[in-house]
Amino acid sequence: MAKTLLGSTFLFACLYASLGICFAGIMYRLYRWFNMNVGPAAGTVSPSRRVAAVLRGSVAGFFSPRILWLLKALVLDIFFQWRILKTDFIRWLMHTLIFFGFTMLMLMHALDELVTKKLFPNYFSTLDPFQYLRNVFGVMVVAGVCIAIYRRIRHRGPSLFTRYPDRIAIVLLAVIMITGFLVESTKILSESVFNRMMNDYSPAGSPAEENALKAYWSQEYGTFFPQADFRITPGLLATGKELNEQSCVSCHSSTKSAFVSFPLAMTARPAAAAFESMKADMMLYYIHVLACFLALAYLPFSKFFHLVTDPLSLLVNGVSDRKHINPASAMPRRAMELDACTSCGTCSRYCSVAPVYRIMHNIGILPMDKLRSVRRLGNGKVLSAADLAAISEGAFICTSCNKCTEVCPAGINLQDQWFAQKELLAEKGHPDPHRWIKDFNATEWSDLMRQHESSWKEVDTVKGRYYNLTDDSDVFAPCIQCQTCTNVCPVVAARTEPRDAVDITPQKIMNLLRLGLNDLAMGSRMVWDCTTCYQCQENCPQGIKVTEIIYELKNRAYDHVKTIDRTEKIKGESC
Amino acid sequence: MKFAFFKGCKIPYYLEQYDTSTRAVLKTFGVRLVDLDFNCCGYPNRDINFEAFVLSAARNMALAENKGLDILTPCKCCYGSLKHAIHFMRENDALRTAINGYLKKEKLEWKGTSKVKHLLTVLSDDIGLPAIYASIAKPLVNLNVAPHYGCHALRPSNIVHFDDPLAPSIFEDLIFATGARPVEWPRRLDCCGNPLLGKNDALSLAMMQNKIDDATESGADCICTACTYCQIQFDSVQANAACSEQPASMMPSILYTQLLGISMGIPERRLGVDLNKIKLEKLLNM
Repeated sequence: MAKTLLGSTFLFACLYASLGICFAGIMYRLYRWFNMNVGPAAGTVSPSRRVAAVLRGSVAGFFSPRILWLLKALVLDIFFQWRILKTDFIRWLMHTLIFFGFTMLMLMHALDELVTKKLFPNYFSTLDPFQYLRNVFGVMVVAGVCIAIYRRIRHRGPSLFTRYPDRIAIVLLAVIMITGFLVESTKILSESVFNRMMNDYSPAGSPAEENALKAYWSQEYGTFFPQADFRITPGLLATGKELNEQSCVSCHSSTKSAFVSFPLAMTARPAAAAFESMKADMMLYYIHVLACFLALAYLPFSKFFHLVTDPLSLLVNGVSDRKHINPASAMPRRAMELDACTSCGTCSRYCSVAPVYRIMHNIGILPMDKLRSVRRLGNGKVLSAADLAAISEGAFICTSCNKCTEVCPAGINLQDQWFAQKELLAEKGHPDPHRWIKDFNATEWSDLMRQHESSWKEVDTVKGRYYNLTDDSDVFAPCIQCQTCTNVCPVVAARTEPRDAVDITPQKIMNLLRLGLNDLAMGSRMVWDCTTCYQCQENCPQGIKVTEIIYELKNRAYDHVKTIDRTEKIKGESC
Repeated sequence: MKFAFFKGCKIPYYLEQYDTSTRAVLKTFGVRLVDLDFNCCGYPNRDINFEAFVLSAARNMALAENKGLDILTPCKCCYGSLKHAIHFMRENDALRTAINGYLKKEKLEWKGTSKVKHLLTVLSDDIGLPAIYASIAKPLVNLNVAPHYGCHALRPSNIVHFDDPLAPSIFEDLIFATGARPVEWPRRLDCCGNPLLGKNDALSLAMMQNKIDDATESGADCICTACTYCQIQFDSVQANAACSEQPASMMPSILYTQLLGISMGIPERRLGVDLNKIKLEKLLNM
């Protein structure tokens, strides 16, 4: 096989072209890691300083006791893929089959001249255990790919989207594996391959001896001879066997040990003549090798790149001190982590606020999609206000509980990504809602809400309205304006600066409700600075649910204003 | 005694010592804590969406009900959130039907059979003060402790059923048991300010400072908390805020489980005392 590859200048050129593209791609990725701004603008350093910080950090980490964590990451996380096993056995099985199967095929089969031949000088690809093992590893990969396809169909949903990079990866792997088996099968059947071998390795035999060998090979090795002008007798087979032992066996174990390719060949035997005439073995060989080269060239731009980035991420994050992040080396690490994400969805499956997603339907709440939005923000494209609002909503619903970071099989420091993303969004004018609500005062919000009257009407009839405290006068009419709520409120007490004073105290909120001016209360400082301590509700002599009313005002205000573009001008005068 | 241990979102990353100290203390009383695949209690998201908050809380309780366990939570915000959800789910049929509709997709159901208890209630009622008194090895005499009740376990009393909302005593009783002296301080029932952190930092810190000043004036050596948020506020947030100016003195804050653990003779390492940002010098010298 090696002779054919090297013999074909076309394939040789393709190999070098693929390697070149792969190398260029990796260089491009590296360049992006150090030039992409992932995180807040504050504290950003120049790319050269980032390179310096990363180099310094790596050297420091290498010569510190933390090097032991490196070993742990290498053995447990990378080799045994323990992090996947902890969360999902089937996924671990799928990944282990593909990982080990493909790695062994790479080393033992694809790089046989460089690796296997050096370790085992009498290696031939058709010799056992190599022939047998090649089939074993091939089956492992195919089994893994089948599980992958099954999982992506069975568990499709918010935590497992299948996008084109996933499809391309699966299709490429499948093509490589299937053509691999088919090459072996067609070669088993091929008469011309047999003839070539016979001419090269046992020439100058009499026609009778040739027939004997052919008889033996057609019987035992599965070769198909269309013009079999000999009768197979035990005597002929015995001669053939002897000749086989002399000239062939040292390189050819029985093809039956190719336990996938051999049965495949036997099933396809009726079409063997057709395969011969169209040189199917050569054609399939070219497809197989070119598919491999395509995967190689495509590697840095594809999902396969996680072969490089995931071990890197696991090592870097296994060693680094997560509580003390160096901002200069943090940005390149974050950029690298974006390439390490394989969209496996484990983070989203374990997310603490997944129930909130179930109600609010903003996919940006779930970690897997948050990481995609981190990439969109880092790419420097200008996003619309609506997009930013949706991303921001998802980012600030997160409670930074650290679960996603604990389960990520690629070892990505997601917690740090979320902190950085929140800071960046605040810089862009989309911080936590309690903060952006302060862009306008209560009367300005009231005007803005009326400008968007259509959304106002929709929201009020939204399903899920289980309580209606703010429109039910039985709830707030009993207020006697005794101001107990205001006097026990710690927020009112803490606001001693006149400029910073609370705009509408709790009892005034009751008044506004009585006047049907709910909208004036919705955007007020009091409502959004309420610390929910329930002192007002507990102490109200009339038993009014003051805090619950404030909560309801917050909820309704949010529904009304979250789609309003805050860069919009307010029409007319405010009252 | 066996409980489903509802830690909430903040303990794993922000306050690991609350987990370790609680486990250490409860283990000596023979209480088994079971970890389930809980999600957020819903409190942080109640500001944005009511239904999302109820579903979050109900899902946790449904998970515990599935295993036939009551819930023990060391965080008062989580406690309040879960108790509120129980109240709303019981009184509002439409809500309960809708929420159970969502839970059904995960083969869960909220029936309201699991009780939700705060750590202090379990210590005071289930384990009982006599057992706690009996376990003390090293009474913390001469230590003046300001018990900080927090808000969400205490109020609104008709929903949370924790203690008398205007004159509670559970925390003082538990602190007495350790041998320390609980001080009387006027602002003991005030909010620590942590719910406003990240939303209105100036206000949050002002509220925190009001509490700290009051504790200092009342002669406390330290504040004692039994809530994740409150401890984070008085410990990490106070320490970070103080870095910018020169603090005259910072008021240390200690978790009740750490206080109790020390008085029980549990090694400080197991209680995570070294993880507290502001060290309680007087305690360490005892």
